[in-house]
Amino acid sequence: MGVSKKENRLVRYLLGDVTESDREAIEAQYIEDEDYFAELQLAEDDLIDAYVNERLGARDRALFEKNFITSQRQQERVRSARALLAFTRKHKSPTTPERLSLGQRLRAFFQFDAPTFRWALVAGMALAIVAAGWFGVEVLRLRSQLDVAQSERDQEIREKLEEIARLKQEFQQADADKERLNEEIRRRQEEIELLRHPSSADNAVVARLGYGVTESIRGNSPPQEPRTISLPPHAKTVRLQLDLKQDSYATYVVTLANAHGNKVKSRPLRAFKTAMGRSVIAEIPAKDLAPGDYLLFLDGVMENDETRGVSEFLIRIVRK
Amino acid sequence: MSYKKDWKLTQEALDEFLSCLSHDRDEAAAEYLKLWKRLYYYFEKRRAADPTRLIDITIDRAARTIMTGEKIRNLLAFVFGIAHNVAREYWDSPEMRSDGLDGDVLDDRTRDDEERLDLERRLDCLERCAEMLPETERQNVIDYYSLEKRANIDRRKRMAEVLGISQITLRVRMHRIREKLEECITKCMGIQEKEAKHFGHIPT
Repeated sequence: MGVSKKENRLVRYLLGDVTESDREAIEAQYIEDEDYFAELQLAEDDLIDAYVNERLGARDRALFEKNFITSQRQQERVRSARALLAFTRKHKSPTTPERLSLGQRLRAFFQFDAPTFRWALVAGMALAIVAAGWFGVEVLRLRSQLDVAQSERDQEIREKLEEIARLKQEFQQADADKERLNEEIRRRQEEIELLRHPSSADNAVVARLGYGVTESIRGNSPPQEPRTISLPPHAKTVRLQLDLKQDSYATYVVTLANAHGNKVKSRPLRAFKTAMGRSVIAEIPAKDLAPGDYLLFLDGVMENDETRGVSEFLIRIVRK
Repeated sequence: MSYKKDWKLTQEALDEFLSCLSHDRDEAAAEYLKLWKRLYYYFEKRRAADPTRLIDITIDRAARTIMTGEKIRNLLAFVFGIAHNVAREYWDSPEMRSDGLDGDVLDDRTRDDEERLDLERRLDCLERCAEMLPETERQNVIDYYSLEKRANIDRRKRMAEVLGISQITLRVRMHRIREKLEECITKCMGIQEKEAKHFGHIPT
């Protein structure tokens, strides 16, 4: 009959041509396994067809008649198989299975249990999976490239910003330096101006007043003796050198007060480097100084233009 | 050996048995029918005169064990074990064993006439039953069962290829159509419905 080994085992069972242990094993299997029972039924169909078509050998035919047709049901099946054979012979058409209509072939192809459809479906799904995988990989690769490019760009921007900040700081520093240089230049120019126009014996009287009574010792120092400054008749300017223990201010003002309470304040003055360290030079026109005692206040000028006392001096102007 | 009649299968016991097949009631019923069919086949192969009765005995015993609370790991294996014992007990009981087909002893000529008459009636029934099939199924039956000895194997292989299905699928499909036709023929022939109901196409 051209059957597989498994099917042949079932056929032998149906013919009653197996050992008792084999028989029990087969019976146990088809009781427990519905699929195996289905295979048994297919084998039974083929065996019956082989019998009615006289395709069984003599021995198998004898076994079939002795061991298979043992019940009414099986006898009915054999008789129906004979009728089926007669029916097909009566209605057999010359149409071969290859001449199925296109519609029948398409319907057959699109049946899910068709192997060709299944393979086509599997191939389509595999292709879709491969394509999806390829797209996925491409997307990841491009995304990675984009991330790298974005990261590099971000890094560039950060570096540019840092450079800008650094340059800004340098500019600010340069501005500060420039301001200091300008300040220094002004001081130097003033010093030069003083050197260029030194007090002459006949025009200016220079008096060094020292540190005076500073704020730190005010109240604790003994009453100071006035410093006498003799003015010759031809003196035009009195240049007073007020020494600083500490040059804490950018500018200073000198206020001169006479015994009557009249005051005159100088313009802002800067400190100069002198042999005593740092000193403020105040120039007063001689004609403004009548003989008498004067209090001279040296105040430092703060950033908010307020003044703070640095030292006091008591002078006595005497005309020669 | 006589069958013990002191325990009857109650609805509760049957329900318990079905619940072991499946928790879904409808599925359990379907599984029970499939199992019943396999048991019938088994007892038939064991030449039981009354397979139905032996199936009842088997199910009763299985259900009774379940009702005692005994845990059963593999129900089908358990049922087969009971069926095997029942078959052995039956084999020892001559009144339950079938010695072959019942019927009068006929001479060859009478038997041939009987067979010919049966074939004619059966063919007539088959004609009517085949008309109820869809045209494609009817044609497939004709093509498939046009047996020409060895050539039929190649023909069926080609038939499966043209239909775009596997050979095993073709066989299963033809088996189901054949079952339908056999059930139809049996009904048409007026044979006992009890036999036909369990071995024909199971109605939904």
